[in-house]
Amino acid sequence: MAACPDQEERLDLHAAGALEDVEVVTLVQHLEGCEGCRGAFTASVELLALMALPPTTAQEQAELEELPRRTLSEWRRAARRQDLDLRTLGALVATAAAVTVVLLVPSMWRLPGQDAPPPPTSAAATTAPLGEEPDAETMAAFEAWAGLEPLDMIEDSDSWDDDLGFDSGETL
Amino acid sequence: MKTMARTRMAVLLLALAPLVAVASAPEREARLEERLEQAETRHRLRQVLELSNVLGLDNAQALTLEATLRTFDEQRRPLRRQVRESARILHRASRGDSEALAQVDAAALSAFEARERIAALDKELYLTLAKALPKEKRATLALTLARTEGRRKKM
Repeated sequence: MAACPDQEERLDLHAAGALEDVEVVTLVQHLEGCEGCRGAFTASVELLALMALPPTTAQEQAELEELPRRTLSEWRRAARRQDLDLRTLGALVATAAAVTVVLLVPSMWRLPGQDAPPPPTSAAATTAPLGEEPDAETMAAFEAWAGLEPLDMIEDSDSWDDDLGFDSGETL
Repeated sequence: MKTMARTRMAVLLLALAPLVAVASAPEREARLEERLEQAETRHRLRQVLELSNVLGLDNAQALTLEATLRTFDEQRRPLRRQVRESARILHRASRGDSEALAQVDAAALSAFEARERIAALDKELYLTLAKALPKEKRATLALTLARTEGRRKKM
């Protein structure tokens, strides 16, 4: 005996457990009095039982249980990394600013009466910065005045023989 | 993430750029020191040759002479630094550098002081070298040293 055509869809949904509660009551009342629909419902339940997914394995179950915790820790790690990047950037900017301040401020921040650093002693004179060098000739003249050989003027000279009074044609 | 890495690199380079500039000054100073040291060695060798020639020294005596001259060069080195630094300060002051102008007197005095100590060293060098020489060669030594100084002043 065939199922009632207007109930076929409901029967299938009920067999799959997807029928609304309100309709379940009506359908169950109908099934009590309709043998054809009962047979079709039983056949659907049997068929769906064959199609059901196998039960989850222990490993799958463990992974499913682990999923929320893993998702949360991944989210936290991403947030920490972003926070660290921002901190690194902040630290680098701060370093650049500090270096700039250290280099620029002392030369700019000088009160009118304070622009004179302490005069050098003979020992302190050696620590003054280089720059704006006098030309080699002036330096050589200054060294010669002080009684020093002007080293800036000494090169790999070809005129050694002349300086030393050697005869350039002499053979050893 | 790539943008972040690039930004970080750019900021790092910006932060390091002033340090590189600051680091180059000592490097330049080291190069200058090295150049002066080489010139000092060449000058010493020339002196050894000249004195060995005029005083008729043998190899062993020339080596002893070289060692003596080296000792005196080492004593002259800080005085040379003092003289050169004074020259730099005076040069800058002559161009109106306010920082250098405040150091003019100290720099000039420092140069005079170094000059006196260099003259004392020259005298001490003569006495050290003359000690082992007979009178005639002492005279030759004095004349040679004077001639070297005269040449130096004509440079």
